[in-house]
Amino acid sequence: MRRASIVLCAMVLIAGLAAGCATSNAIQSAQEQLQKAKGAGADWSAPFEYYAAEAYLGKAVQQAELGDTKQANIFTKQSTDYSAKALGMAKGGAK
Amino acid sequence: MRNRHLILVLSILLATFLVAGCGGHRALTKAETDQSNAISAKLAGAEGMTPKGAKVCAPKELAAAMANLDAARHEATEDWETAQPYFVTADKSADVVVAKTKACQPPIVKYSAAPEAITKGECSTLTWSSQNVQKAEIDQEVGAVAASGSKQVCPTETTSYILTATGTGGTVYETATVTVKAPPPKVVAPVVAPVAAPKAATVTLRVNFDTNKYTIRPADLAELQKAIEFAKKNPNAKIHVVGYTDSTGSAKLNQKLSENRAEAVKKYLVGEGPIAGEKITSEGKGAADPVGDNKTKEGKFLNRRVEIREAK
Repeated sequence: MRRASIVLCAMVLIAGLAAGCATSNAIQSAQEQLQKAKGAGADWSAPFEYYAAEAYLGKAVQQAELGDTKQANIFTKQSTDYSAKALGMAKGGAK
Repeated sequence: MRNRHLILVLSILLATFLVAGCGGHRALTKAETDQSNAISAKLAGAEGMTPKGAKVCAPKELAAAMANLDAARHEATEDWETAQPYFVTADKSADVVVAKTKACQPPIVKYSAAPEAITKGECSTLTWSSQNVQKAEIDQEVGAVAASGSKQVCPTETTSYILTATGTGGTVYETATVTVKAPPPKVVAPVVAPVAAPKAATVTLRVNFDTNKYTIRPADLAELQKAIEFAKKNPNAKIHVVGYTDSTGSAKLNQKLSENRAEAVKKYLVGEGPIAGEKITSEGKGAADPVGDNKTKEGKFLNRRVEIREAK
């Protein structure tokens, strides 16, 4: 039984750490997406979408630093969506 | 038994974390909802401004304001901290968006001569009205004029009067031509006048550039849109794009810069409009054919330009 308790404690700890790591990884991935969009010239060809991705990424980092991983994930998703849109517009030559 | 208690305690702890994660939120107060709606309305108003909305005029500021508003709304649902400073920040950033978008609206000018044709010795009246204009002037020695007004002119030969209207959102040129006809002959003989062929629509537009740059300024997008509209209405028309620089710098560098400016405009028109690449020709003329005084900052700006004309 003692062993089971230790396993349970470890699982709770790992779950907590995993949640934090997942947010951190998502933010990093969003940063890479933003860089990719910039590399494709999205800051010129799709400025609103590019800067929206940048602004929401900033908010995501703020929330992650405050420990609000749930809201950080929401802002990260918004950033990633805007980056994808900006990248698509940059590649398609749209304004 | 002791272990069972431990499991129970851990389970309660886990459940507490889960509940805290899912709940712990409150609904926005009426005041916060009103504030949020007011900021949203400001941003929507700026986005809907014509001819250029906030996405074109202030993309970075608009994006920041939207993110600030979302952050404020989120903070307002958290019950451990007041959201007021976040709403203040969002409101200020929305004000910046509105101000920048207003400032970037290009001048809108209505300009005409009446009558358009006179007999030598008669006069015509130039009439104009404008919006978003800080400074207006008419060439042919008319000089600086108010944003709206009229002026009598009595040219002795056919003359084009160019009105240059400058605002924070760019510069617009409009032309009114007064045609001067010769006085009628004293002895009138019956003459059958040849029927003139309908004159083809023409277009001459100018866009300006910052020093040593060939990037198209957002302020000139409306002007380029006119070229695109012209091409849509005249699908068989060919366009010729000519780039120029001011007189600063070496002739060699200016030649290259003028070619780059012409090429940038050509690329934009091909990319944005219905114009096939082979229908647009471009060339650079360096610092040739200045339209402004190269001794003044303003004149130099006018000279750093690309002219878009219908090719003959």
